[in-house]
Amino acid sequence: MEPDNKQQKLLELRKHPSYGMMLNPLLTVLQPTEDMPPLPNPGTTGSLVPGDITTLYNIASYTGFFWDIPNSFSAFTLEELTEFVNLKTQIQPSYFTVYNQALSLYQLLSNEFGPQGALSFLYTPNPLYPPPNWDAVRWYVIQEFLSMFITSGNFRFYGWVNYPGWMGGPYNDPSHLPYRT
Amino acid sequence: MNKNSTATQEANVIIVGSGIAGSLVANMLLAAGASNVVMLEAGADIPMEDHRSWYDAISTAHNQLPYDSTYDLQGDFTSSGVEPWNIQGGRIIGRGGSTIHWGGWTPRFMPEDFCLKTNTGLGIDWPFAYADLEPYYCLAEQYLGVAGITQEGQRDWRSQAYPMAGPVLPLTAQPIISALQQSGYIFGNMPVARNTVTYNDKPQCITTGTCYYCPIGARFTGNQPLDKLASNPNFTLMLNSPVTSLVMGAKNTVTGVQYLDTTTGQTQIMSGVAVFLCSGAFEIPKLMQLSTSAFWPDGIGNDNDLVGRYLVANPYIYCSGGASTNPELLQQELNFPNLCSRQWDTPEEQATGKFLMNMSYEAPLVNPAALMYEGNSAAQIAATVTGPFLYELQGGISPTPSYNNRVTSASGTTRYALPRTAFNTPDEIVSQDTINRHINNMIQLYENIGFTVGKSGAYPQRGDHASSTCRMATTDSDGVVDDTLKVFGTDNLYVASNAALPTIGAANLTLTLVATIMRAMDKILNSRPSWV
Repeated sequence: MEPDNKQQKLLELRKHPSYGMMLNPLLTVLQPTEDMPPLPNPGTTGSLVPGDITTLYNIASYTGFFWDIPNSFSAFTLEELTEFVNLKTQIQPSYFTVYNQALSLYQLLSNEFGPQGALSFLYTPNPLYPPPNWDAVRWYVIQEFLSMFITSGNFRFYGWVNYPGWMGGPYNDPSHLPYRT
Repeated sequence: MNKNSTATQEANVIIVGSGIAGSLVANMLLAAGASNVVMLEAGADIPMEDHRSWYDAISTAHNQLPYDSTYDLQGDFTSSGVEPWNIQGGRIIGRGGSTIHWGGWTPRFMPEDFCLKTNTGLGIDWPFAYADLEPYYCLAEQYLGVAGITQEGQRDWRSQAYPMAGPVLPLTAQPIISALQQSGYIFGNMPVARNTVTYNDKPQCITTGTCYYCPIGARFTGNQPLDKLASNPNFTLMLNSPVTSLVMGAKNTVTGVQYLDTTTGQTQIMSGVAVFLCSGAFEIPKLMQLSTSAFWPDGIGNDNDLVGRYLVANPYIYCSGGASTNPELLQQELNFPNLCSRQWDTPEEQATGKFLMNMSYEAPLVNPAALMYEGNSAAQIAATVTGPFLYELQGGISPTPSYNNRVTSASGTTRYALPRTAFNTPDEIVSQDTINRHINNMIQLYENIGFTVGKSGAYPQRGDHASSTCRMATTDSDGVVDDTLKVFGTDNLYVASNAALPTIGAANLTLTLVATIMRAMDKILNSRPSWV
């Protein structure tokens, strides 16, 4: 059998078995072989103002528009993102700087392409002309928002009942088994 | 900071290591009335049930976890032999030890696992039988909070029901169940230390699928007993305090330990009336070997050159198989161990290697976020979800102990000020024929259901479940500790660790470790030692 490449990759990337301990089931999107840019200024904590968090929410929510996933599956609310962002910015290693870089980038792109164009550009940049701070923004903002978008309920779009990262509920209650039997 | 100064402190009982063994010993001592119990841990605290840490675990590119930084580094050990060990990622050095990251797998050993020598002529028998340990298995399951489903006629017979009922097997298990049924093979749930109801003051599992870091503490982890002990005035936990040697007042008497406060660089002596070594199958033999004196010129308990020998762990094998379309959208939605088969965990397989097979709970697993990031369109992702998929069957094999396989110290120290580790494993612990036999068993299952067979093989030996390096025996010519876990030739030094297990079966060993320690502590406490 010639396995599906992506599935095969998921298996092969696991260097070790999960015998007696848990391994991370590769929820996230970047490959471990990819060079990881340093998180900028991880010691600089701070709090984003609500308007900035709303802008980040708009960036995160663009995932559903871009991939035709209706809002009905999403539990990725502004409230959840606010908690996520606050925990990421107020505690070290802090994302305060990289979120501000993402906001500045969004503003820069909005000025040039308009708000909708800026969102599109953030998800599909021209690799030959990476925008400022793109590596860190891509790694620490875009890819994390994609992961949160899927784990926060939108995996249900694909017909599944549970997914790593989703708080599905008690699993021994026959009336509420958070997986298919 | 004076790196050479030595201060002396006093304890009643000293426990080296804060993992599941150490905290159990502390719990039982304190419950029996012991005072001034001091635990020394080489590592630091690890935040658990921490919301930021959980967000990092589910969102960051490498599933960043708060214990990642505690793993062994490549430079922390040397390795030679038939299959050089690579222990990176295998153990956690920090408060709570390696059950911080374990999956909670808690099967019992089979009755034959206690009499390997009698049955096969290999290795050694345990000083006691399954029946002797069975009551303690029940207590261990209660202590850890094990959920399971009793199988009719199961050979690891039980006198009490599981503390909690196990979960219903998921839809994803159905193809493998069908394959097992077609061959007439047994199967069931893997018992797991995960709450199906609120238990031991911890909440019910809500299936986050992130058992490597549970956000609510619904699976047993090594920090939990320590959390409960934190307010006990008779208990002190000292972090960042690696023990560097044992201090002997006489051949049969340990009088304390020397440790380093790595936050100050100051060497300290902690005197104690009894010492329990609970720091695992690597650190304990190294510590005993390095603690030379006029009483023990080759290291404590090592007059017969057995300390550090008989190093074993379970070889772990896998075989993938799948089909070209996935109309049922099969995906591992449960993400913790569930379906297993002990078809080959039998006396008939014991001489060459028993096998406990389980279905990987990590495959099939499509990650839409990864596909999005890679630039796939909605239609392409939908096609992937219903397209080719792979399962993985896998499992551990019971190893054959060998005198020549050994752990010792290498020159230099790690960032925890622990001696670097040297693994030398010249003898194979499972033959390639045995590995092939069990891979063929898995291939047969795939063929039963028309799956195409994919890759198979053995994973690198990471040393999960390393054990037997200070093995329990009836005499000092066969082992290092007796059946109360006391080091032969001493009156007050104990090894409460995987290191003491004489042999291991195919099953994960943590439950057996806990039961063994409970049995030993019962005997110790019933003898009414002066230090309790």
